[in-house]
Amino acid sequence: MSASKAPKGTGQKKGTMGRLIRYLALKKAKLVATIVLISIGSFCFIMSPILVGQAVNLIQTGGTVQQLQDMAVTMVALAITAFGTIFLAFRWLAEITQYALFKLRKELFDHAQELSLNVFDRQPIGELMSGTTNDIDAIAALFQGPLGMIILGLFLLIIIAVAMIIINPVMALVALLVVPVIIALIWGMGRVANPLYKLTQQGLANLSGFEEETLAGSKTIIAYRYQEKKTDDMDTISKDTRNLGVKSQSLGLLIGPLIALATYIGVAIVSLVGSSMLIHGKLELGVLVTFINLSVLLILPLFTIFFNYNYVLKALAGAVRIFKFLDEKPIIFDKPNAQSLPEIKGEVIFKDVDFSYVKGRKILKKNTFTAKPGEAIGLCGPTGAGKSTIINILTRYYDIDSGSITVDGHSIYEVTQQSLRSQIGVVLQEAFLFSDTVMNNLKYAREGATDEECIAAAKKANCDEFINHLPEGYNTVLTDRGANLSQGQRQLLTIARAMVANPRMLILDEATSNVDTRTEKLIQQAIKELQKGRTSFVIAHRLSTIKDSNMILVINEGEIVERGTHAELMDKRGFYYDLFMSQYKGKVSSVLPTSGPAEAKGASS
Amino acid sequence: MVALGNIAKMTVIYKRSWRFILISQIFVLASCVCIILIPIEVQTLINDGVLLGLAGEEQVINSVIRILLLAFLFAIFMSLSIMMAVTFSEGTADYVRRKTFEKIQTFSFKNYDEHSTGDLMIRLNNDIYQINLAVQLAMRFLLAAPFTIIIAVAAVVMLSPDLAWIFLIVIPLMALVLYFVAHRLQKQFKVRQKKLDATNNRLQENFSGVRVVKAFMRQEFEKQSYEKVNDEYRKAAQAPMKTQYWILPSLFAIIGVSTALAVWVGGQAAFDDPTKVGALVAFSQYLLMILVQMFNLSILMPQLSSADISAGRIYDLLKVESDIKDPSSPKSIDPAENKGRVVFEDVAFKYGSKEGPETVKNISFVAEPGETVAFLGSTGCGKSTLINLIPRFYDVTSGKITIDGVDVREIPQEVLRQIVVPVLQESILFSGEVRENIKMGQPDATDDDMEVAAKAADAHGFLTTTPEGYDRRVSRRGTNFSGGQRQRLCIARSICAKPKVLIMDDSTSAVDVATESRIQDEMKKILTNTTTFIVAQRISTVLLANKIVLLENGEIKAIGNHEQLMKENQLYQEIFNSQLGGLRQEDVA
Repeated sequence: MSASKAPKGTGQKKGTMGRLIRYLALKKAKLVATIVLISIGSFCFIMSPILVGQAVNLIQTGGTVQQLQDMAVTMVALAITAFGTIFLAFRWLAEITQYALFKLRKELFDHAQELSLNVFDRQPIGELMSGTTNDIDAIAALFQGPLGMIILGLFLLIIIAVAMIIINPVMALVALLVVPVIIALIWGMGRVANPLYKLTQQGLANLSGFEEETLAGSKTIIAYRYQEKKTDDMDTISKDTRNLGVKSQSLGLLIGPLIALATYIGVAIVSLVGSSMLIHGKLELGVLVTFINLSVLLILPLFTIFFNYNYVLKALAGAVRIFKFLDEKPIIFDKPNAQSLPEIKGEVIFKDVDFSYVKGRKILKKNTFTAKPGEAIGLCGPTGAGKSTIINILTRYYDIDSGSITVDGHSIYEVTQQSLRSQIGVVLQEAFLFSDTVMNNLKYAREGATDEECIAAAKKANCDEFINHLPEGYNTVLTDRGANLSQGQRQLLTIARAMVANPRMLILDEATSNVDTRTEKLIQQAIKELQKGRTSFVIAHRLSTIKDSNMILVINEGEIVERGTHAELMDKRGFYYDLFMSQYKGKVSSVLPTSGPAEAKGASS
Repeated sequence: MVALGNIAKMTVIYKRSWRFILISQIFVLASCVCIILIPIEVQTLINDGVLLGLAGEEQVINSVIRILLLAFLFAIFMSLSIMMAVTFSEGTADYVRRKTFEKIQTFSFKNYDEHSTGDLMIRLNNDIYQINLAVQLAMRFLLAAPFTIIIAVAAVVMLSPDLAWIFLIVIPLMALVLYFVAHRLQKQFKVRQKKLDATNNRLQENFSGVRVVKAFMRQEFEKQSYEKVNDEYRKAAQAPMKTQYWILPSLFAIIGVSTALAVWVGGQAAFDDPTKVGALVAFSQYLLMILVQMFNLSILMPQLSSADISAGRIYDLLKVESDIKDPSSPKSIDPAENKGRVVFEDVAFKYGSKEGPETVKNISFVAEPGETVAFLGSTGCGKSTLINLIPRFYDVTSGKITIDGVDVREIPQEVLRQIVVPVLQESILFSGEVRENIKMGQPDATDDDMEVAAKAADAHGFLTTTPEGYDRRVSRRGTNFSGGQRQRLCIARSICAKPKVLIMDDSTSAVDVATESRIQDEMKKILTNTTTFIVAQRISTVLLANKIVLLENGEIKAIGNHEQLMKENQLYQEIFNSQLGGLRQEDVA
């Protein structure tokens, strides 16, 4: 999720708020019932100080003890009702809010499945993850407590205000003066506090980023004696974090005493005005008592609303970014009347293909070639020449700028992605496995794959042996991306997985990572097995892998500079020849089958 | 109650701030006193003011003024105490954070092996946050809450003894509810955290494996899989919410019932004694005060308990000792005079605990000054382990390694690592300028030295394509450079440090063979007298070494240059043929 500026105006805020509320309204009936119950409960609660006032009136105007007792019983009944309604309402609120969050997370995930790779490639996965989870957390932080408090507070406020107005409009005016004043004060504080909060958030992200980077590079720091410098850096960053933290937290917490002060000022004013009116016979003692009690009680809703308003702002900021993500559209999609690609025989034709990830920086230039069914095509060339890009466009991870790509005469842009990708087996450079059982990882290749099919593929890919040596064989759960296997074993497993998919075509991006000779042999065998009868594209980082290809495409700076079999290319004495020979660093003489000590002496260095 | 020994110890670290703490607590208690006096003043206003009619008008005004005064004083004292509490807690967090980080910087490779990055991050962030919050809450409530409760109860006992008994019911009842909630919450929070982790892990895997998901078109499967964990989390998150939602309704009910009781008892009494009305009003306010303070305590106590656990973990970390220690009587070595002759004498090494086989053993060889020695062998044969022993990233278990005759353990680490410089397997750059990164091992290096190093590492080219050049910023984790570019920058960094012994651990794996040759040639020109150790998987990388050490299962199988090994050693021939076999006679003609 790309970082986004704060909501520009109230317009955007309202839109986001509305959209967020829609998630809460998913359980409409429950929401309505909850609101009704909260209003009843608030009412019952507010009746308490009002009845105290009435009791005082009773005492003053000479009521009976019996009447007093009846009043007390009513108050108990009201208290129990308040308990029951609020209790039930909040339980329902818990269900409503959690369902809203569930829906939000689900939509986020489902949408991510439909988005194209450009979203995942434009920033480190870690950033995308933390952005997503942080934003959802901000919304959850609001929903999981503060929201209920704010709703309750609003109702309490409304009911107190209404009660005051009904009992004595003049006094109500006096007592409620305090509310707009508090609102203005809080709003003013907000203007100061919000930029501060943002800085604090950034500061925390900065601190965390610094720590992560330092820990990840710990070995380098030891090797280059950088410990003192990093400690000094931390001193500065930590102090900055502290200073920002003190400022923003103080500001946030000062709302408490501020509200208390304002409330008690209100109480004082009410006492003054009310007492004056009472002394001049315009008010009853009971009413004064009620107003004093209600004025004190105002602290509850004022506190719950304004103290928690922070959460609302943070949640909205998070919601803006999440909705931006949800509104993003995939750039790779099926054409409206896309056909299904019939079973591939395997003829692939690239014609004048141009491609760039970023406008203006062409990665592939006018690539043209034909692969016949069943042919093994090898791609090689300097790092960054564009080899891996060919996978990205053949599988439609990205789309080309111009030119055409056809499979068996069908343009890959006229067929569905489903029908195209399900027939192309891909083995990627990084052997990615899920933290699930070996068997489930193999079954991932194709829905409905059976155990037997998986085991057969594992055997062909030289995996069966080491799998059976694992603690629980095929049911062994692979840890965190397959860490309980060696690199080579992981590669073999991904090859087996590709076999389970039984694809009509194969693309293999060779791993650059460390594999020992024995495992390397097994991998090369497995690859050859996988290539049988299928058109295959192998991107090689080790030239030995593609030596036996039917056709080798040599790619340099995005263009196909040479093509042919290994022997043809070697005979050309061109780019491929240079590339191949450079591996020997001049030590060719010791390599040739017929060379002996005598010839070695005379050979070129 | 859990022993709070750790968290107490932590505040003692800040012993010198006892005056600060004392003042803040005085402010806190002063604010409590102010707020407690207000209901009394209200009571006075009613009893001695309003009830006396016109005669009481003056009293009313006096009382109102006093209420305003008390309110202002309360706000001031409370604000001061809040600011002091936050200053102190953030200061404590800052102090602990810096101390912990400093300690981590003394870690050796072994220490880092035993403490994962994730674990250390949790200590630096989460644990310190718990301590921060606990200290802040304690400064604000540990003294204030019980104080307020006791004084409020005392006030009611004094002013309206006939109502005081209500507290005997209210306080235990509220305490029960709060305790029950806190207790249940602990368990429920743990479950919720587990389910949250499961949900986030599923998301992480899905995002990381996006290419695999798309390649096999398993989007629907992923959606269903996520829905399951998502729903479980929903339920787990609901539970603590519902538990917490016991508090407010209970609060309402208790206030309602207590007020009813007060009306019943106090109301009857008020028929005889009108001043009881004032007491009734005061009572409601004290009731609210007490309940709020109880609520504050119910948040403080569990937080202290969490913070204690966190403090314990920080202490555990602070106790960690590095296993690589500087010699007590170091040999004085002048890095400039060093020749760079490295000798391994019967070296053996084992990671970790006592049992288990050694990773490498019987390692003996000599690297003459200026030689290039390469290590070749399958994964896990011990190549990287061996070269990590030279700069003392780990210490040998037996045998010794000497540089120019001096055992490396007798050289101070600061000096040793000026002499021995590695290019590690993982290319790590730090956010900052490219310039800083290249000069890391030698901050005093001139820009000329830096450029020479960068040119040799084939990095100068891509750096000068942008206008900022060497001022260009490296982003976090160096992601604005490609893998190959990062490797070359790391090589430049090592060259710039002008080492006597250079170690290259598979440092050119992301670079193609032609570029690698170029780099190796340039480096040989600049670092003519540097002894170089190379570890590689590509046999191509080691062909030109003076000595190739062939390792298998942690032992040396053969040593020699390429021609010798090609003639005499079968394992070497196998490796060579599998990687570089297939050259024909006509290719060389």
